[in-house]
Amino acid sequence: MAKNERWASRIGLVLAMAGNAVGLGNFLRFPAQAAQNGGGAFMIPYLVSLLVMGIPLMWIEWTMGRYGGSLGHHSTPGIFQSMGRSRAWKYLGVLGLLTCLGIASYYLYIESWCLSYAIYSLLGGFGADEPASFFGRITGQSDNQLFAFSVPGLVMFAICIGINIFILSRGVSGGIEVVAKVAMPLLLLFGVVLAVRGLMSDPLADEAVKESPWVGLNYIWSVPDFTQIANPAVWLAAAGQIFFTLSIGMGSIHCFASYLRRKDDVALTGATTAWTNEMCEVVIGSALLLPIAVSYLGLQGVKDSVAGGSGFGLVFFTLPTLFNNWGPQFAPLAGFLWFGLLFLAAITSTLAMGQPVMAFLEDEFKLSRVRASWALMGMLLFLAVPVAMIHEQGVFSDFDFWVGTFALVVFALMEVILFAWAFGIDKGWEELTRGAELRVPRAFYYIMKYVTPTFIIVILLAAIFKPSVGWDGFFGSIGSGQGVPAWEWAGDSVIGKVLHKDLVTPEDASPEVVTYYENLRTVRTYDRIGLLAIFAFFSILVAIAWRRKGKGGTPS
Amino acid sequence: MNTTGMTPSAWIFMGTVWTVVLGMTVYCFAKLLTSKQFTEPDHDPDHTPTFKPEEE
Repeated sequence: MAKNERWASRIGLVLAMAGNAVGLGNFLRFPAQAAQNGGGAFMIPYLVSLLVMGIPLMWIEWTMGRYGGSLGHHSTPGIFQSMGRSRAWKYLGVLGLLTCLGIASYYLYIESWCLSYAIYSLLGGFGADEPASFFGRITGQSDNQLFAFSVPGLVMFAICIGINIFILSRGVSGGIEVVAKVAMPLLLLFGVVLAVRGLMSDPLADEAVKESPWVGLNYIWSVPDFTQIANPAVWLAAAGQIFFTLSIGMGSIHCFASYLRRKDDVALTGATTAWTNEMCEVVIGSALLLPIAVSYLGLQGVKDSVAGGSGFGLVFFTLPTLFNNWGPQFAPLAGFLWFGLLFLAAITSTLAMGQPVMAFLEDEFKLSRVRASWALMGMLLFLAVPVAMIHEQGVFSDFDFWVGTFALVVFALMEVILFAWAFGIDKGWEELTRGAELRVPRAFYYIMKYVTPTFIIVILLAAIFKPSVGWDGFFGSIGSGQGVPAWEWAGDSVIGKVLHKDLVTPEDASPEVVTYYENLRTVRTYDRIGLLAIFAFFSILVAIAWRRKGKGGTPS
Repeated sequence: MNTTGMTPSAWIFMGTVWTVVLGMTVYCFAKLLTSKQFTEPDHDPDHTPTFKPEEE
């Protein structure tokens, strides 16, 4: 049973937590965000967001997890209920299960791409094959085609789900911890080897090198243009990146921390996790993708390729070809190291997303670990099959927005209100500092109570009500005396998503494209209903579990 | 390595941030690895919390 499980070693716990945090966001999203938001100008808001939101939330989640675990709860419904007076908290905690399950469903799909690319690279496949055509073969997707699948792609996807379920069925110390102890050092090794090789490219010695890779590094670390720091869009991008990179606002950190003993430190271990993640992102992440890509595409080429995107195109379509410039012997190995690094980063994160759902079933319904892992697989397949078989602009993108972006911010706001206001910051602070091996600066007492919730509310409101001209355009228009621009919802705002503003059919579209967009809107409506149905399903399970408790039932 | 693409100010900015991040990581790991927690036996098998949970 989950409540009898413990971490076998402290280093294992930290590596598992760091593995949870270190994911695709560190190596893909961070450099892309930095490139889109002015390089050095992005780093100042990023570091401020880390201090006033990232690290406080990390400590809050660790503390909540340990507290709930001491009462036999290892998932957020039980943890939330143990800290809040209102009965509603356990239902709000369901969001922690939904985010984990929803994100895992499409994260596993990307994980399977990484595994496919790593194997194909090692076999030398990208020496002759175009990465874009390989991507098409493993996804089966093409433009304006809604339903598509690829048998090899689905097989790799199933293999990844199977690997995750097998590891999770081995338990916290026997599965997740063992994998983290192997995967995290390997991931660091792969990253360092690639970064050193990438920074050694020299335009004077190799005619294929367009620009020095240091130009890419210089772009990220150029002295900020302080006018850009006043841009609200840059702040929102930086704060959003902190959410992604630290894996906060989901139920995974609570779950891992719940396997601690009540006197175990959370301040130092939480800080170690956060700083290890930052090392992987700010040091290794900044020295990989951009410098390597800039050396062969030039700085402007890289800016163009990441504009408005997440860096996926650069990673899956461009980079495998660029590695060919590193020679016929090293190119396959470089491709393997890069996609192997991404696979390891992804699998340590998906394991952390699966554990809270299993823990919920084990705690509240007394399922054995093996049965819980089968139940998790069933739930994952329910969500993952549409992700893999419908065009990525359909379910995949929609899940990424609703459970992978919006729900994280909502959940983080709820947990900080619960911790600092409902449970009480004084009790929360005493919980955080009990057994602490790191002196938590008193300033964080006030930051957790006032600054962090305010910061999150601003992010949330900005995401809900974003105008089509962007917040920088909106405030820029007012600031320059042009007045308030005509209001139109942005396609990537919450209201814009609800209204399908990001799926407006082009005016000169062919009948085929018109049908495609109509179907896409229908699919997105249904996948949202599916997410709400899963939320309702877990809420019913919570209600049943707590009703049993009220009748003296077995749940702890 | 030919590092001509980096300006002096970028070196300073990157060096400062990397030093802080790497320094904090090393400091935290050093404290963690020298800690006696996790090697001591559990004296509290009931895992009693400091505060009683809120009643519904």
